[in-house]
Amino acid sequence: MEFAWTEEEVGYRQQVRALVDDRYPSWRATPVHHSFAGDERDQVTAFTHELRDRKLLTAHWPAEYGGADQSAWMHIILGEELWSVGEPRGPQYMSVNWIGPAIMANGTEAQKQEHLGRISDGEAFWCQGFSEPDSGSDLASLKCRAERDGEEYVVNGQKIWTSHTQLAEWCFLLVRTDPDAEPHKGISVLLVPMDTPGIEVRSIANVAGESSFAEVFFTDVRVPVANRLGPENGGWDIVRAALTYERVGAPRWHRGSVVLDALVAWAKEHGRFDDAIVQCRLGEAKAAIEAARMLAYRVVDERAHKMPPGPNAYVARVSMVRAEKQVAELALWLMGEQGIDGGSLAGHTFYPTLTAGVAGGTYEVQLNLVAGLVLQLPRR
Amino acid sequence: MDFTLDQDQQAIVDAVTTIFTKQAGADRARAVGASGHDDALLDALAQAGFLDLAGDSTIGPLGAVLVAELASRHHARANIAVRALVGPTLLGDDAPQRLAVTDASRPGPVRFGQHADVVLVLDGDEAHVATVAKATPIETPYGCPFAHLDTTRVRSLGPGSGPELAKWWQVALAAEISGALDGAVAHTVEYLRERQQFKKPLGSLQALQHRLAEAFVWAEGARWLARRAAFEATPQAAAAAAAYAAQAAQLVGTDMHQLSGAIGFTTEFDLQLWTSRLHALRVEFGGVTAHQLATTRAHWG
Ligand SMILES: Cc1cc2nc3c(=O)[nH]c(=O)nc-3n(C[C@H](O)[C@H](O)[C@H](O)COP(=O)(O)OP(=O)(O)OC[C@H]3O[C@@H](n4cnc5c(N)ncnc54)[C@H](O)[C@@H]3O)c2cc1C
Repeated sequence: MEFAWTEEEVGYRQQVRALVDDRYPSWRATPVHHSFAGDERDQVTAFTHELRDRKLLTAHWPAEYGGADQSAWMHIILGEELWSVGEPRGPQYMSVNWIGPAIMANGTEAQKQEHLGRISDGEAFWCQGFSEPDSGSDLASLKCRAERDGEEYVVNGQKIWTSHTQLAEWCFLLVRTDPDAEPHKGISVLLVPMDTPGIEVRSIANVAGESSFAEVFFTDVRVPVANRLGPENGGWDIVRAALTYERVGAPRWHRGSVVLDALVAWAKEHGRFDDAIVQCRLGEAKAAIEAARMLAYRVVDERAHKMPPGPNAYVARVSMVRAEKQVAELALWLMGEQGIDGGSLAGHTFYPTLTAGVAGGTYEVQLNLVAGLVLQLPRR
Repeated sequence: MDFTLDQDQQAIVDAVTTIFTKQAGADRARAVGASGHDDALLDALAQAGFLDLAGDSTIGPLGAVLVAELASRHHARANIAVRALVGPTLLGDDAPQRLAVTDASRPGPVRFGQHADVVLVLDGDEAHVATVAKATPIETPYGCPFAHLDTTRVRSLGPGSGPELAKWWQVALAAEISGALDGAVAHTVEYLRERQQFKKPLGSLQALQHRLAEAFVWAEGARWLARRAAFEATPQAAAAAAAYAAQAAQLVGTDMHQLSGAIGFTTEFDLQLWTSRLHALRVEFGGVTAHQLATTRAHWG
């Protein structure tokens, strides 16, 4: 047990940080989760290509898939430095976090060749087609149907709350392939090009700011069987593993830490920093952020030791949601009326942070998982 | 970064667990009494070298934190966290076996004051070595012996030793709190798994499960922050660990009683052995606000 960064890790962090501060010099002072519009693909790829050319984009991946065989820690350092200040990779952060790993673990050789290369080239834009109007927390109840027709599936149904559709070229889609089996045992994963005929996207107006989301309708959408990831009806295990990655995939603790630094700068500038109450609340939030950081790092450490995804990810998620909300609450409290301005630090922080307890599996669901899987409390 | 114990660390955990299983624990704690002091236990730890790990260049404070966590988990009736973390780092080989710490700016009673050979006094920028001229023990329900002290200062440890003392004191508090949090949460989880009402285990009720899960997350965060603080040995990490631990102690120290019902208030039920200690520890050093202020000042000046 030790908590030091290696020289390579420190050097890697410095390179990533220098690049983002150079290309987006104003982001760090007002960290926003930047939502790129559909016509901003080139802006995103300009940045991801720079990362790729410096061997920073998928450094922790095996060389055969375009990586540099470095440790799993590079992944989280990359996320910390980029996601926390506004995510210049746009939706590509998901590709590196869990879509790539899911394909690496479950894909056919052809799927690996096609997708992993694009991801490590900084060219892959995905969206996550999981939730449905009647299947939120109870994801396994999903109904979007895929019926076999020769060498194709025919997909009919609806997804909702799908983020990043404005740029997505592929959808990591959960479908029901066996309606008669138990809910968990009839789900498959399809990798679907978003320009397939029969897919219709309707965006949903929202107040969250973090990322726009949409409804996605599938009407007789034909998807080759070769695009199925993993076995037919074996999608649930893939998605569970993917979601444990995703739970610590967005380094919310680090954004909280960047926001706190910015809040301190604001407090000093506005003569508020010497107030003991302000200092107490800053200290409280900082401690919460650092606790979340350690619990998330423990999950990364498991990954670095090549252990299978386990329930510590839920523990980490609970603490990071709690900590980030504390920071957001502090931002609005400290800035007061000035924080009402949507362009202010608090304005950028408050709503996106509220979504943290819902997106990617709710806070309460994480508590259920901790109670059941970690504390082994009896089932209800 | 590596969250798994190395061979030395695992050996420490195994060996001190053996000692605490034999020579500490709830029954032993009751026998010694809340105002008593377990000299035999402290001797055993000292003889095996477990009080001096922080000064050992291959083990360091991270090894000492493991001892401190486990001591509190097993209700040890001695000032082990302070001795193991503050002793070697401030006094080196001169650290006496029975050590207490206090802050000259606060008049409160000193934990383990009546059982200390030497007291380290935090006085602004300097730490002073002092002996006890007079100790006046107080009655308290807070799980540890406390006494008001008249001290005689022997020597100063020099400029800059004050912040050093503050730092290691905070790490010791964080580690000791985290051991007791662990015990209190695990005990309550186990109790609610078994306790039946309405013809089912109370631990199956979601309202209670969520509170236990949240308490558990607090305890886990406190543990890893304390360990990191011991490793980093910076005022930033020490203050954040203590701030988080003190807040966790308040929440867990009250909520576990709420979840245990009336039996939780009885002396025969082990819960109070951890919670009474938690409440004592969380007010030490000026309590949570002092740690929070220190966190902010250490990070952002
Ligand atoms: C910003 C944002 C982006 C998103 N992006 C995507 C995306 O890209 N792709 C995608 O597929 N989905 C996405 N989602 C959807 C997200 O995964 C769901 O919102 C989430 O799974 C919760 O489902 P729900 O909203 O239907 O809430 P519900 O399941 O209706 O829950 C409502 C409330 O009930 C509680 N609850 C539910 N079940 C339980 C239980 N068993 N025990 C205790 N409490 C319970 C919940 O915690 C919550 O508080 C996104 C959501 C947000 C907010």
